[in-house]
Amino acid sequence: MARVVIIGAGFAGHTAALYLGSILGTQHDVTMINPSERFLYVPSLVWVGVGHMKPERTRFHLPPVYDRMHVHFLAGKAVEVHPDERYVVAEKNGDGAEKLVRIDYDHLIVATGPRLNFAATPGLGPESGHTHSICTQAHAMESRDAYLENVARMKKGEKRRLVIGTGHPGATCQGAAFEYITNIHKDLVRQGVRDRAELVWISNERAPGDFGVGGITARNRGRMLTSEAFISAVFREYGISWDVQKGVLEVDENAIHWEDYDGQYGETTYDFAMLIPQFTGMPLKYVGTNGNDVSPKVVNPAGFVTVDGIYGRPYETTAGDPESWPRVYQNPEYKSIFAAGIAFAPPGPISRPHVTPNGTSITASPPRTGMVSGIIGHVVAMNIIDLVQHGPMTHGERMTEMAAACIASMGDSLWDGSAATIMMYPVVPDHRRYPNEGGRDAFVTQMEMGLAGAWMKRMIHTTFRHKLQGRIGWGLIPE
Amino acid sequence: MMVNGAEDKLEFTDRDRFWMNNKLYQFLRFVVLNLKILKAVDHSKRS
Repeated sequence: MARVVIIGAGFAGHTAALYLGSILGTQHDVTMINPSERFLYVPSLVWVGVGHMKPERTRFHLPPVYDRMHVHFLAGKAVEVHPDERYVVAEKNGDGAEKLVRIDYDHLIVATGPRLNFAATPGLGPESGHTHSICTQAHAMESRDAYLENVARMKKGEKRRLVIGTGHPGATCQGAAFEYITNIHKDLVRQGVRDRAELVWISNERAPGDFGVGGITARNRGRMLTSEAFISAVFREYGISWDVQKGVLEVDENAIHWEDYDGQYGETTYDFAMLIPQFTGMPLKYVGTNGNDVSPKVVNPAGFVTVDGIYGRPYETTAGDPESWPRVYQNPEYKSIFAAGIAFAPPGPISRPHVTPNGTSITASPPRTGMVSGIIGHVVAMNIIDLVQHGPMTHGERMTEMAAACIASMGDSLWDGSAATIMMYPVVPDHRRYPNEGGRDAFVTQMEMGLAGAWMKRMIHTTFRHKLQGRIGWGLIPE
Repeated sequence: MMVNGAEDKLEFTDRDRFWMNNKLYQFLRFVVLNLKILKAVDHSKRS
């Protein structure tokens, strides 16, 4: 009987659990370790953050799903992985005497998601800093409350400056921040106070619309358009001023301090700020047989699990070789370890990096959206099923081969809302296969904006919750 | 202005705004976008 352990019930880990449980669960041992008993549908936290969705609609209870899918569930936090002896040490939730448990495995999937590294930017974050976040449910609720306080002040006649974007020179998830600022715009219009709000976008992107993927060039009503032009037009349409090529270094109670591409330092004052932090890997200890630290064999310095990508090459080399990107997401040293979703180490940035004259790297890190994470979780699960059932792995998909649809909500109303629907293929440009400027399939890659996108975003919220709860037909819904 | 064959400046017109919120047109776009996403997913290599 094979033992498969998954650490993390986010998009990647939970998707893997559904496939592993449904195919292997009755004859083999599949165990999920996750600190929370609830799955959190993170993309909808944007709406929680503006008070348009109740938090309970973004989550569902995991144990009944895992019972149905023949997956054992341990509510707790993985703290150590012993890759030589193949076991995980987890700290169970609750106050019981036996807090630490050992779980042996034949195959391990590390799908922890990111550590929100607010500490990398002094003054950042809701816990010990001055800014807000929409990265967790608790943060999104706090952000909502602070935002609505600002709305109340605007209704009394005050003018407020709201700054949204990225809070570290190497941050990612610009898409989520974009959704937040555009939803705030729509809400302020609805609340009748838009004229009292100054909305400012600040990010580490090379240009608006970069989103950590180098921007896209896509068809839009018969013409080729850059995402820079598209997003800049959206910002103008919504009266949002933007400041890109900025690496935020520090935040105090009045201002956001940054360095720009030219190495100049400056500051942006704010009344309300939501800034996405740097992401690093979760701090799991990797312990060898002698109790020695074997982390260098498993993770990179940022804590992301190294897999079958090619690391350490200059940007131009990585960008020019699609095989730099991993295909099966397996750690080369410990083949029993896989990493899925944000937990795996990308071989480098997708967007062109920039180093300032002061030596600061202001480079958007590669995003891993829910769709991409789900696809990787699916690939990893199917390969483990291959290994358990008949030997060689037969599944693989690099991000240079992967299609992704991103639907960026820009107002959730089903009557007059909007969303930008962006399809890109592939996610990471492949200039060998598509020798155009963008490195993507110009026929498949496209972007548009309109009410249809708002409907799609809401539909996806519903259909994904259906899929992720393992309900009837779940396997027919693509990641 | 065209940069590498793509437009790098865009302004939304009243016509654009009309079509972005026209319910019938957007319903058709909703159907088409769903089909395109399914096709793109199918197009994407997954061995």
